[in-house]
Amino acid sequence: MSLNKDKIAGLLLVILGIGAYLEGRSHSLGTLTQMGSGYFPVALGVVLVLIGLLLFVTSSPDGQDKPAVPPAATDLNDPPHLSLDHCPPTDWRGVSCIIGSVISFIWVGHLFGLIPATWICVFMAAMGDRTSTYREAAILSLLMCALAVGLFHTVLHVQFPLIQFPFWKA
Amino acid sequence: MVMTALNDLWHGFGVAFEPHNLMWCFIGVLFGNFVGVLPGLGPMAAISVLLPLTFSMKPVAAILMLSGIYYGAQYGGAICSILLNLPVHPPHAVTCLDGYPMTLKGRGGAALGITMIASFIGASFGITEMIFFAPVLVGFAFKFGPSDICSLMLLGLLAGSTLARSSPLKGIAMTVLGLLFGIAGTDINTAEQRFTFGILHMADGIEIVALALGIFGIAEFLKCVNYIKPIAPKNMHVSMRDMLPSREELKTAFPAMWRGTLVGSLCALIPGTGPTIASFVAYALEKKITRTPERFGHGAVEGVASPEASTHSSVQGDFIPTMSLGIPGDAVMALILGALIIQGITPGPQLVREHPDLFWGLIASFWIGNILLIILNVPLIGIWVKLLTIPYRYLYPSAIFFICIGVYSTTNDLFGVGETLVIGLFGYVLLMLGFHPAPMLLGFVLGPRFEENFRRAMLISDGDLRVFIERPISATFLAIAVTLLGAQLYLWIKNRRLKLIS
Repeated sequence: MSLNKDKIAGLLLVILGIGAYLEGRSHSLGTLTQMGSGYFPVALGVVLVLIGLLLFVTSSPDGQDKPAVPPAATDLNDPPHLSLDHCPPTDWRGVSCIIGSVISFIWVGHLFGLIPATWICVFMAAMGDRTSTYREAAILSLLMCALAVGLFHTVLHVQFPLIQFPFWKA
Repeated sequence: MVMTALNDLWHGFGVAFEPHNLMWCFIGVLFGNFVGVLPGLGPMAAISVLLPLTFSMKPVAAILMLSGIYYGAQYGGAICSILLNLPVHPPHAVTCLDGYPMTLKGRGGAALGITMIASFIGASFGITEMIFFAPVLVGFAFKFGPSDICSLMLLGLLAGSTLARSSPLKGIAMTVLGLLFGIAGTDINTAEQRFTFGILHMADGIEIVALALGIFGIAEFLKCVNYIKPIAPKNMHVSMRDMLPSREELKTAFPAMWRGTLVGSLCALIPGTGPTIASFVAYALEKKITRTPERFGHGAVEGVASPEASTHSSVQGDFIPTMSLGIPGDAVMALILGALIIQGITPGPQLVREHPDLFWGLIASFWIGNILLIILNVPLIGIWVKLLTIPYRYLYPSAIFFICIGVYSTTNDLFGVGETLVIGLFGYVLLMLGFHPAPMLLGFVLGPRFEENFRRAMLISDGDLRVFIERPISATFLAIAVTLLGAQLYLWIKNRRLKLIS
């Protein structure tokens, strides 16, 4: 028995369900008349475990359900590049750049303020695409910095220091 | 009855024409049209990005704008399907089948023209349906007790999760997960902290903006990055004159539009069947009743007109259960409901009476918005088509920045941004495992209210679960839910057997 997509999905649900059950048990359960705060999470956890088991047992033989949306008429010269129901294999460069970009927004934003955070966030995200160049990414991130100052800071008054130097204060 | 509705509508137009509201409605439809055109961005991402903006706005303006994004995106979505054969916007995927062949035959402009007419007819009918049907539903809904509301929510949740794409089991799992996400934070009854893992920030629960942007923003970008290729600008010269359909095309398209409109408005009344299903049903119907089914797939005009009309009438009709009962039919409606809750408005049947400005203003704004969209789309079609060529590599980095700053602005705290990232990664894992996380939002928004009503129902009935089948209204809803599940199960087993045989 190989571990296909549906089986992993089922296992994940079982784990999440057990987690919800345990978390729910740490609160008072109460009775059906006087439901405690643990009652609902425990119930949902049990449901989740059941669904997970059902999914695990019934997982379709080819490992994946057929897409419910029929593929559109394909033109041989120009095949559609992304279907709605199928998740393509992970593109590691793109994925790590996007994750890095959000993390750096948090980290740089916390230390140095909005402008550097915006710049690094957009630049890093843009470099996730294999076709972008450093120049393009730099220009795009500068544009976004201008937008951050012009729209979010000036017009919408988002409370975020524009730029700061935490290590100079001391 | 009819007179009061028209009178209220008149009042609604007064609200919608206030310069402030008119401006936000216009911004909403413009932005909606924009993201609708772009492949790789959908109305859900767009609404979640703009959701933080609405926190400081008045409720009416906020809802007008968010709704405008939703129906505005439907106008733009067809362009991509017809000219490029890219089914990136689910409700318009079926339009590819006959829209793209029309483009290949050089009638792409006409297909767009027909789409616009069909959209307007469909939308108009959907709005009319809402004007007359919603008040009736509201009157009925006032008789609901907590147990009835519970069963209705259960029906809504089941319909929303099983009628969507992918397997019903996975859909239900997503809804349950959403319910769990929804009750995280401080319990309103006991003030106990649930699922906070000792993190202080989590005491307020998960931010709806973080959840929506995580699963519709970050997770989608993680999935699509480097897979959306730049679009080659061919077949893409459409001017206003090209959009004029010929007389024969109009003659075949008109009856199809009306059939599509009817299909869409019926689908809108069944909870959970959104515009995507409506468009597929409409296309199947056209194919069934035509005398020349062989034309379909080779540029049949009906194959464009009917699904488009159906999509639009169902999009407008989707607002009926959301605004009159407080039960959203799909994830987009859940987001709009979430926006209402953030504005401090309790969704439910009392909304029409307590906030007539909002309800009737919204309906009036639908008319205005749809007319604005026609004005935006017909003369400016060339510009929209040009926008299609904006490469994804500019789009998603900008969108990620908007997500970061948007989430930050809701709480003025970077914790929310991290929360979004974590949810986004989780959403990506779910996508990889073949889940469609959209129903999660449905569960998330209804979670606390479901628990609250269940608790209340149990308190009244003294812990007797039979109350759900003893009350006729509740029993009816449960019966529908069971039928729905049974039908799904039957179809699923049938499909599986077919698959095993082949």
